Amino acid sequence: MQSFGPARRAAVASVMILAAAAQVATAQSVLRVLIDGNVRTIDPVVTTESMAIQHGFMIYDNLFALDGQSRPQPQMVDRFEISPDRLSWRFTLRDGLKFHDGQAVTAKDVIASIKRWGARKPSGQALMQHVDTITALDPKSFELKLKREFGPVLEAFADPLNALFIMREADASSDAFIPLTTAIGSGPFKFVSEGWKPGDKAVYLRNADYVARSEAPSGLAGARRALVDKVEYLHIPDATTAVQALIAGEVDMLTFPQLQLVPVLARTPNVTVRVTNPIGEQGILRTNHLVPPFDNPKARQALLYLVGNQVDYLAAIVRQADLQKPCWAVFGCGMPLESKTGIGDWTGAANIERAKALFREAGYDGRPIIIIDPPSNDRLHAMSLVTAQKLRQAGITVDVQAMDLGAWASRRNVKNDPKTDPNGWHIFHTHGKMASQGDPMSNSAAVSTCDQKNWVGWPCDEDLTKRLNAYVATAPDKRGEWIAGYQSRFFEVLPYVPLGQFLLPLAYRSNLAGVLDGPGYPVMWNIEKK
Amino acid sequence: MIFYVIRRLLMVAPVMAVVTIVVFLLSRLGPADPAAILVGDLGSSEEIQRTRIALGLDRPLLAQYLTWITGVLRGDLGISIFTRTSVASLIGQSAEPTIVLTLATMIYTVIIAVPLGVLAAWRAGSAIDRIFMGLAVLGFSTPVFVLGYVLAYVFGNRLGILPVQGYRGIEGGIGGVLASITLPCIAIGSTFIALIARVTRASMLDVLGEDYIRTAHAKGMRVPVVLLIHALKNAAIPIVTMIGIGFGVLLSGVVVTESVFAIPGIGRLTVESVFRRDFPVIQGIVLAMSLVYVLLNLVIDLAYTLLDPRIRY
Repeated sequence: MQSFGPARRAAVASVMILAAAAQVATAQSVLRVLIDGNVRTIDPVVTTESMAIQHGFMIYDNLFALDGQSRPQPQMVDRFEISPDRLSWRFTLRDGLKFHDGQAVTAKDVIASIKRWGARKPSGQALMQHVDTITALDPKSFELKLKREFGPVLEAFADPLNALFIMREADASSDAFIPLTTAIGSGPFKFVSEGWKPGDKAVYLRNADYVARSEAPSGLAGARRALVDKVEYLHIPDATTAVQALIAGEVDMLTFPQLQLVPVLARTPNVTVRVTNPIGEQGILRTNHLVPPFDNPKARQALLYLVGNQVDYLAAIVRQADLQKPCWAVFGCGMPLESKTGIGDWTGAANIERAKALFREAGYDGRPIIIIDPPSNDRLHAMSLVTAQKLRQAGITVDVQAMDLGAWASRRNVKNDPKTDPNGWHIFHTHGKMASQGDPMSNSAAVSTCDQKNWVGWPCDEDLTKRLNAYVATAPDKRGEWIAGYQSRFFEVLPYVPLGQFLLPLAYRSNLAGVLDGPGYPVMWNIEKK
Repeated sequence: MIFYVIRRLLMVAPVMAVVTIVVFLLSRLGPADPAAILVGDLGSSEEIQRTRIALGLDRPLLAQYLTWITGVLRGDLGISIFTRTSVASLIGQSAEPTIVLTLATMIYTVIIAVPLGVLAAWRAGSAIDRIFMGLAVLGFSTPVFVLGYVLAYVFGNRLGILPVQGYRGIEGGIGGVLASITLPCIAIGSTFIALIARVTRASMLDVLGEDYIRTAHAKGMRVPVVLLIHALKNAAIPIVTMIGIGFGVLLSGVVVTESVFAIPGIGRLTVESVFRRDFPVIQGIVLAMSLVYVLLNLVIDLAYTLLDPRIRY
């Protein structure tokens, strides 16, 4: 009989240890998610890009967050007090908040983060215009003193698209116009910088030190529990390959699959297709207000009669009827500021004759209307083609200029008349999350200041600007009155043409549980992989 | 020979100098504004302008060029406007998948295409020749993305034996690498097999009509010896040229294949950088690829001397 000597015992032990290690390794749950783009910038403050915001929600925490009913709820904040004159707001952070480098989150970090956010994000800018001082009272408390009343402080802090992410003071003190190179937050996941391959993937590990709130998760609020060990945000540029990868089980979730491929996913076993953002997106038709014919409100109003009941647009964008929500309310339907005031007689079938008459009144001289169109984005391309067709029906000469998204984003900044500058433009289309579009503080398209520093298209109307600015001082019970006045003026000036609301479904493998509904982007906490 | 190599290497400098100027100016042609892209869809005009200033994009072109070229001369290709990471590291990250895919594709292509071309030439006009050349036309005419989708659907989704997409790095083991590059290799290889097989056939047909081939046959040499030793060596120059071009094309990134199979290689990095107008990355890639092309050409020229001793530099 052979002896079982020390060398053999050591060998067996090594094999067993390796096997155990392998088991641990395979037991690690990895959530592979295809997001609608790729994480190119790890600073969610310097950009409005959705991927950067989604990255932000992975690693950073927020003072407040919107719940499933779009109400702000404390997130990092434990308690807060408001002075009777509503000019002093004191906040105290909850216990156990730590950055991924082990440092405790302090009031100084929060104050620096608010200032950086206030330098860039519309809701932050709106708040900072009313702020007198922000002072740290102790390591966990700070006081926000206002110069004049600003009602939606908590709404601003909880804005999901222009989110206030709490960063370390050192990071938050950097230039708000240059992207950060570090990504250390205090949120439920940690960013793995070595795993970041821009254009391919971003990797996050569960933050074992994160202390979640005790409340049940609701929207972006409540407990943010990371239930998987690792999340990989992957980028597959080809829509068909992305769908094939989900069907093959190589990825677990596909955010916003290309809409013509949704029916394929819907009939695939083990794949769930579901709308998690019930308020969806708002389609936007933006004109260049600086150049003829759209420097004349009559020409802009003509577009209302061409758009009509919005159905042509919505059908072109999302095809499926259950994903379409025609809506002319500027701040959205199913939203707190939904209103019918100011909406005229254009909401039926398109009224081509009326549109023609308005173009005539605007002095349209037959010049070609330049629509800049990025065909690689199926939603924007669909809207561009519908507008082009409608304009042609009204006898307008149209020139749809196709280009890549980079050229499109660059050309939108050209203010010159296309008659004199070949890079000029008249119309482009885009869409925004309703959570942002439905909030007067963060709806960039509604800003109509006359300094040409506002969003491209540069609408100008002092009356509308005054009305918009008045929102933040309007008591909640007076907002109905406010929106009536605002919306009436909006449709006279028409900073942009709302093209209705549409919903974008999410597709994921059916072995995922706990995918949360919410007003913003999909979040990865609370998701379990079974 | 040594002097020739040195002379050719010295010629790289002026070529690269011209490349730097051309790529710098070309990437800035038209309304290219990385600040607008960085700020995002809903950023205001003021934010775009302030970002432009913060990133130094408002500086005169000459000043921007001098800053960049000074860095390049020190071996620093700059940093990406978006990621704020070094361009060299971004190229480095993308290089592995592209190099692995290139080598694998070229090996697989040469192993299949050259024998096919030789066989077709040997049996010129026969059914074998027609079938091979018919397949070559088919391979050349089938768009890579169509073949890619079909392969991914059949082998990835229906049979489930190969991944539909993605690249598994060398650090994860050779098995993963091979699994992830098999379908892309077949997809890209179809074009190159067709091309190299046709060039091989044409070149072999020229050589097979020569007197020394008839002499070799008359001496009673076996057909494989005549074809592979006598004929193929003399027909090799156009084939080597084609293989060299193939290397260049593949190394500079096969955009469609990399997109269809989600391979994070040089092609995808290039396209995404162009779409984002990430000037330093575009410039870095073009510079690196120009250098690769110049060196590849030199290697091909030197290879000629090995194949044909009459060629002297």
